[in-house]
Amino acid sequence: MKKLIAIMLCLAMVLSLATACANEDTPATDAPATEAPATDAPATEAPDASDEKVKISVLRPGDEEKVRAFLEPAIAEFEAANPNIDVEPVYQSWAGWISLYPTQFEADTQPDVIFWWDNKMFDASAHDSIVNLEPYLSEGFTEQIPESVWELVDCGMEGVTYVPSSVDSFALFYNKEVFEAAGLDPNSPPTTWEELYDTCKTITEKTGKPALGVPAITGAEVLEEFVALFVTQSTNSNMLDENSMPLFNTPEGLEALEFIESLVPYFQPSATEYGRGELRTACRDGNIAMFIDGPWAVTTFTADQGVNLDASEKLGIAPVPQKDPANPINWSGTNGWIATREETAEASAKLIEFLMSPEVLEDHHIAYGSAPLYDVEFENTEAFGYDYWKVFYDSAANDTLYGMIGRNSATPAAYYTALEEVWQQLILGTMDAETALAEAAAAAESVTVRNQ
Amino acid sequence: MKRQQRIRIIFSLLPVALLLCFVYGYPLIKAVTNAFMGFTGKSAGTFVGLRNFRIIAPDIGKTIWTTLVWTFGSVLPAMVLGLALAVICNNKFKGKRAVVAINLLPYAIPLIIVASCWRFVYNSDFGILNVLLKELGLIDKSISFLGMDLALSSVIVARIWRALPLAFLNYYAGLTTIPIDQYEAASIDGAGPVQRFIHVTLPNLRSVTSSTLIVLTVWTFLVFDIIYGMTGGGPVDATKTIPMRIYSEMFAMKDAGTAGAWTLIAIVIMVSITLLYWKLDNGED
Repeated sequence: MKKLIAIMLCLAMVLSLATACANEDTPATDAPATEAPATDAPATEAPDASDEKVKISVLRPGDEEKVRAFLEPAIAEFEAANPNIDVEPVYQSWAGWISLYPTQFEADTQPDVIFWWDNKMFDASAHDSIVNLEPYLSEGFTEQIPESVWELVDCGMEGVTYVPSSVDSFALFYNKEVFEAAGLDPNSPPTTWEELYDTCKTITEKTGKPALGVPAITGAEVLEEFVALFVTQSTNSNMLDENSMPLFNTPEGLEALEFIESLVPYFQPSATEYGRGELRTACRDGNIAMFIDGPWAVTTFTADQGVNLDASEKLGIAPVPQKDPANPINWSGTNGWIATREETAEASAKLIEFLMSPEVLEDHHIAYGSAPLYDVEFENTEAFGYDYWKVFYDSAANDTLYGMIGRNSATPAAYYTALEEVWQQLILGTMDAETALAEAAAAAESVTVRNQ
Repeated sequence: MKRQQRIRIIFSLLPVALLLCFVYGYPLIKAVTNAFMGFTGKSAGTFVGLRNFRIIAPDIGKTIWTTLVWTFGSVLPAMVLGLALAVICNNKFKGKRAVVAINLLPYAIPLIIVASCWRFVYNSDFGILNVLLKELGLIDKSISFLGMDLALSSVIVARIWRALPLAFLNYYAGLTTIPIDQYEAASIDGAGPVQRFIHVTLPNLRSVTSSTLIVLTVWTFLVFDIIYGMTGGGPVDATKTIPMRIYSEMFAMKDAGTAGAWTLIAIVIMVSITLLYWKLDNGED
């Protein structure tokens, strides 16, 4: 009996191992769907002849339901128009992808086309795999994207290595009812730093409520981006130079941090417990008066007030307050498409061009709540025929944009981690602006020095 | 033992020994050597001496202190409460099985779920703890349990809740093995309940205490999920224990060298604590 049990257990162990090591074609799982052999060979079959089918895989991280909603019809249409290209969608959450991509690039099992970040072009894991798409893209393709956006995503790599698909600039979201309760005009949100300070002061004094929500939760990138908005508005430059050395350690940088310090009494208590999601509901419910966020917050507001927020008597969206209104500056993050294999670059470029066509891009933006990138998207009045979308679009098209930190570094995420402790202390009021500036500069430099 | 027999035993143990070397030995050696290797910039792949330790030096003192407070602040209360519950459950009463089952429940919940649940419990806006305290009229304004001042204590409470079932289970099992005649003899000698507990129960539970203490200390020292899920190591560095530092260095800084340095520090502390426990235990023998 014992022998029998032992044999059964051994068999079960062998079967488990065999199952675990099997290369199954399961696109809906965590593993990439490309037909990757368990060897060092590339995950994609390169074509030997022009009539042979090319197989490529595409990954748009995020909520699978939303991604499927636009990606699957788009792929079906693309495959019908390009019968020699097979496209395999790969699904991953953002969190899953962030933890997975270094090993996938290392093993060369990453998807061929990936929805990527503009500040991770020099990421140590991915940089060498990113392909220049310029030779494969149609003439005039790049001209449909605003010049300000190309400037924003320019990281110094040769050719077109990254095609921006969504540009998410900041706006001021505010609760009109709290404004009214404070005796303020709900249709005149603050437009300058001075007005922002005065508004905060009035709201907190008159209503006792926190005036401005700040996302300061640990482990997210949100606080750095909040601080960077004010710092870049003041310095009119990126946070770091092309050698990843700090550019904010200046009198203008100090001025920005002093302004943030002056707002500390008007931030919500326990700021380090709040991410952007918590602030959205807090503002919607009138527990805070204002917060700064990207277009991703729109869905929280429209779920409460309906899609026509222009008519909402409760919630409003306005351009971010400026230090110098004559020279508007905004923070903006982008996501866009990259191709990761030379041997499938032509097919990848075709797919990226297709995904960037106005109809598909519009579906992508609607599915994910991003602001329009092309002017023609506004022709869809059902989705984008509202003035509040213009707030984001106009900012992306007309403002000077500064984006995510660390774009020239092999470890962009390290800057967020290094600066987070300093910015949290500033927000909590346990560190003054001058010390925060010096500490932040030293923290950013230490990350850069490590990579030298 | 015959030479042939010895050879047969050695050969039969060889596969397991090789497997253990691969599973335990290689990672351990790799972690230790990483601490002295460069992984970033020009130093990548070269021996860098103590450079990785110099990089993390400003954080070492505070992080070790936080880790020790986290570890012993969790383990000792969990042991005491586990013992108390085990003593209660060792008596006969109605609903005893249900009480035992409820006591074991936290152990069945994955750590990351424990973290999420406790995060909701502590939430400043809608957390049950703040709501309850307000309803009872004990506070006017919400307490920031996960704020700078209370974050470490709050994660420790969550860890106690999660560690308690192991201590309870071990003590409960230990109590059932104590011979009843020892208690009877003590009673005949005039010992009261407290004296019986001190002079009969505790000495009989010494080996259980020793093994539970070592296991819980090692596990708690290395726990990552609860802190990651509740505070992410923040605010600032309030809950940054050594495992949080290792994670941060490895995945945010992408520096296996400094992560290795933290790992080596963790190994040294763990080995020291374990040796200390053994020494104390043997000393008492």
